[in-house]
Amino acid sequence: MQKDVPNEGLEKTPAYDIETLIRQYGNDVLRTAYMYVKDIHSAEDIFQDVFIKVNQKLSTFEGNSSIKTWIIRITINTCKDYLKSAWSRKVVPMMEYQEDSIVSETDFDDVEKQDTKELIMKEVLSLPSKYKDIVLCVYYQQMSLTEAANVLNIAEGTAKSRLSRARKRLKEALEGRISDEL
Amino acid sequence: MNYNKNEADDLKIKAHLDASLDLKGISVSEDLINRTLAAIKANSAEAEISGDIDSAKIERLPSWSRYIYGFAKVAAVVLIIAAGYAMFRNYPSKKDAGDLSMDMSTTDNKSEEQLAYEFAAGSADSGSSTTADSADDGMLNGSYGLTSFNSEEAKEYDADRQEKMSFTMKLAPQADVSIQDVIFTEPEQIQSLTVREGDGAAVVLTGKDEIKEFCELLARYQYTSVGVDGDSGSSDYVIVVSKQDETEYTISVGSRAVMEYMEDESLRQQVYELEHMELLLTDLQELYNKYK
Repeated sequence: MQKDVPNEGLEKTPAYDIETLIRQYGNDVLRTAYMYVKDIHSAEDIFQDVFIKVNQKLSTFEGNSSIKTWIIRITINTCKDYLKSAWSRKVVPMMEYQEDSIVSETDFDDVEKQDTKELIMKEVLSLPSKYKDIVLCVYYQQMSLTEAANVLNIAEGTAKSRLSRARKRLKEALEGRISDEL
Repeated sequence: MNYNKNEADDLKIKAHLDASLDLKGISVSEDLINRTLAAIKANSAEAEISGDIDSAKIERLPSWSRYIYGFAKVAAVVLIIAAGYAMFRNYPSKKDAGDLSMDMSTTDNKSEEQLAYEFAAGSADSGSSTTADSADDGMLNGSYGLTSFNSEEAKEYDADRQEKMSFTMKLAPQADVSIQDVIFTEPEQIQSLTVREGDGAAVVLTGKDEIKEFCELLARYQYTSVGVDGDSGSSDYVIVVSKQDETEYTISVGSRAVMEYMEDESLRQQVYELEHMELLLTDLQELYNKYK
């Protein structure tokens, strides 16, 4: 897990190296973007957009949250803008099937494990937007409820109830399908 | 984290999502980092020039794989269009489809007319009747093995074609004997030769020398059989060959030579082309004028 860069350091270092931010939070940005747009090319576009914005707005970063939270907030907003655009609505990501490559029992086990991961990912990504946002912020980006509420521009109580409902939905959806994992 | 124990990540969502993303290979590459840094530099320079960071348009640097991906998509579209155009151009016209279908239903290079007549004369020539039968089957089936020419239009055309060929066969089935058999092989069997020039008077040759001279004249030329077409066509000279067995052969000479005779109450025909038809016509004119 990546260690968050203290924002005090950034404030003291106006000429902060953007490359360091990219290397440190790049995967979080790219993966978050991918989980929103479900297409690697679009995710890479968003990745570039995010860090261009980060570079442009770095001087305006006030340090009210961690730099990671700030970057993820930019990422989520950029993803939502992208999904609102007319172009993105026309793009249908291609599904990837790996069943064809099954050749042995070991492969079947691997595929089964992979299916569990895919299933969880599928269920998380198919949650309604408001639940997906809170799940990704809290569980995937490991933000506190306060940070997540701040990123999503919602009240903390709302964030808490959404997280609770999201968990309930996920458990219902996954119950009996990945019992070993739960 | 300030959520309570009941809200802990007991589904191990982060672990599962990361594992799933790892499997998909969703991670930052050096190439992406370099492209992003280059894009940042380019956008910074642009923002400095415009003096307005907020309004500066973001310029991304897409990866080569995206160019390839884009190129592949364009190439696929072009390929589909080209294939469609090629199919359109190669789509057989009515006539072509008919010819092609006939070619596909036969195993030799005989013309369709020959095949049709072979079919009609099947009992006389068992070897060719097999071929003709297969050709006929192909015609009756109407498909000829062509999947792209199976429309109502094609069937209608086939029906017309069969009707036409049927008419031709009734009119003039293929001759069993050739012009060489009639004129050259046994000229002594010829009882008389009647030669008519256009609508002019007929000249009748009955003397053996006269008949021999006439046959020798005709024998100077090479006759190439081109099948039958049910139409004698216009002719400059009409020669009626009467044999001792009372069979009669009519040879019409014009732009080509057409031999016809009756057998089993049906008219048989064979069409020939000559390389030097004009010379034959000149010779016939001289001979005609000689005995006129």
